[in-house]
Amino acid sequence: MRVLQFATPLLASNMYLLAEKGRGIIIDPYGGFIPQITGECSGIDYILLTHEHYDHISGANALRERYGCPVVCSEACGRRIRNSTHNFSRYYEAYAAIQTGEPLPAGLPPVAECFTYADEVFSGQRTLFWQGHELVLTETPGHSPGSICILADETRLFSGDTLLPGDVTVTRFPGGSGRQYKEIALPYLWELPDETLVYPGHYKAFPLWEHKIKMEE
Amino acid sequence: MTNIEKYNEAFIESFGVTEEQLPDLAYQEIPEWDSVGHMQLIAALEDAFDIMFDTDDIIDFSSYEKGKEFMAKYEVEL
Repeated sequence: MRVLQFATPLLASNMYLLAEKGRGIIIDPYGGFIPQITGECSGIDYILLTHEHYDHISGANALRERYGCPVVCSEACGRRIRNSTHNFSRYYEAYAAIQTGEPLPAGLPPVAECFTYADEVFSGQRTLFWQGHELVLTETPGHSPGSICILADETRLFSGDTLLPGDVTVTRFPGGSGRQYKEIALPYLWELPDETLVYPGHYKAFPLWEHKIKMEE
Repeated sequence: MTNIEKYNEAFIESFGVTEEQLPDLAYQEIPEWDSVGHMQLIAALEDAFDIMFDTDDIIDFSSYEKGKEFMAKYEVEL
């Protein structure tokens, strides 16, 4: 299975394409990468959302329409992506301007009032078997109520914003919870093998042991 | 709870500050009022007063005192 990473213009959030035998799965969709997806895959079977924040869901409607595949996420994420306050799109332009000191790049689609919906939701955990691979989706709330991690073939973890390289996970966004992160997300991460390769929601991939060392310090 | 009490409470809850600190409070003057904390504050105020800030107002809401001007714009009397 090939893993392709695409950094979006929305705060350099990562979209991932998992490609196998001409088929694909998209994690955290962004609508601007359709040519790259088409170059790799003849079709997409699932769109997975690691959490509900706008920079990770903005392409859900466009890519679902294009490929006719289901959008899958946690139940909490499925509720919150329907609401532009809860999915953060209504605040996004202001947040990006405050954080970067600049307006959004020209040519981006308008971000206000972004709504989408999930076709399939789960609570706790769900396993997908796809093209000979196993993907385990696990709820890891803390960064947001709808956050999940996706473990592929027990070796590769798509962590969304639950785990970023070198960063302390942000749990202060509206709806976030430091308590849930400590009680649910951290124990889950801690139990994964050290050699697990983490594909985060921002920045480049890194081995989990790097983060575990930081957690122990 | 009066409107000014609700306004103050949004800052106190978002940033863990005391009422005495409020008059001098401004964006990035304390570690808690960073870009993420700013979104916490905006969400807390919108919840408390059932309003929706415009994007430009969210960006320009730069201090406790400045924020009072924006509340007036949304017909909240403090």
